[in-house]
Amino acid sequence: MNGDFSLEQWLDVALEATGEVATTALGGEFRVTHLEPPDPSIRTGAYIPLRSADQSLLVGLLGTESTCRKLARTLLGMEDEPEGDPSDPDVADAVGEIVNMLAGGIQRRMNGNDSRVELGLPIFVRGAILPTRRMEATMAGVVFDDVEAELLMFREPLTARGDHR
Amino acid sequence: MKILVVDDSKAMRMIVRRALRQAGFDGHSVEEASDGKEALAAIQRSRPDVVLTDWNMPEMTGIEMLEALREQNIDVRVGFVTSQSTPEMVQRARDAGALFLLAKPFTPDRFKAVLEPVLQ
Repeated sequence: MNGDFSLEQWLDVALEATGEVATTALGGEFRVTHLEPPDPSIRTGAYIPLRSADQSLLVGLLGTESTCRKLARTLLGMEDEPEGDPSDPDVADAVGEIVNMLAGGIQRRMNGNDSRVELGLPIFVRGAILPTRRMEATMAGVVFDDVEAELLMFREPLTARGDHR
Repeated sequence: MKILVVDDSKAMRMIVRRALRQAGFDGHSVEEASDGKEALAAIQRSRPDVVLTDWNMPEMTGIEMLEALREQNIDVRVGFVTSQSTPEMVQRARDAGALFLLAKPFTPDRFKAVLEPVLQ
């Protein structure tokens, strides 16, 4: 059970997992620049749902179209190929894979904490997700080498029946 | 040696191919499949020596594919390369005869250490 886990604690775990993805799969440096409440600006990026026994979460790695393209190029090893550019589906696939690995890192860390976290499948979104009244949200600015992005996290407690309402 | 890389993410299939090259396993023939069902057909057709597969995929998951292979008495060596890793998954993979379950993301050293005993 992790109902006593605050959103900030979830974000800390997510940032640690993001750092792991940055230094292994993306092969670069990683730092957190700032923490702030999310704003409803239009962004591009990938989200993945996570679910524990008593909480539903959504983690997003977001930025501009250029941010996502740069992250995709890095993941796909295309940094040294100025001519080649990943297609839109390849960018969506690559950024989705980054959040998939990030969520796997959260799962491994939380499942070692006497709890169970299940993952959904990533989706790629151009737009803004607006939290409902029941959802808490937080955001951190992150930098992968010189690529600035945002890690967004939503949390909603589940009812005793295990669903949202 | 013939290696089949199975993942619904094209990006991940490219990453596994690159990791194989970076780990020095570049003399092998590598084929790809994008889900368990496609992989099952490819294995029945071309009998690879090693299958590196994701777990969670549409149509047929990696573990369903492995269990189907065992039911058909096809004794190909299979290892999982997957983001998700729970004790239940590890146990189910082990029960089905998987060689390993390598969690993503992985370092080049970790990838080489896990694959070396299989590919050498």
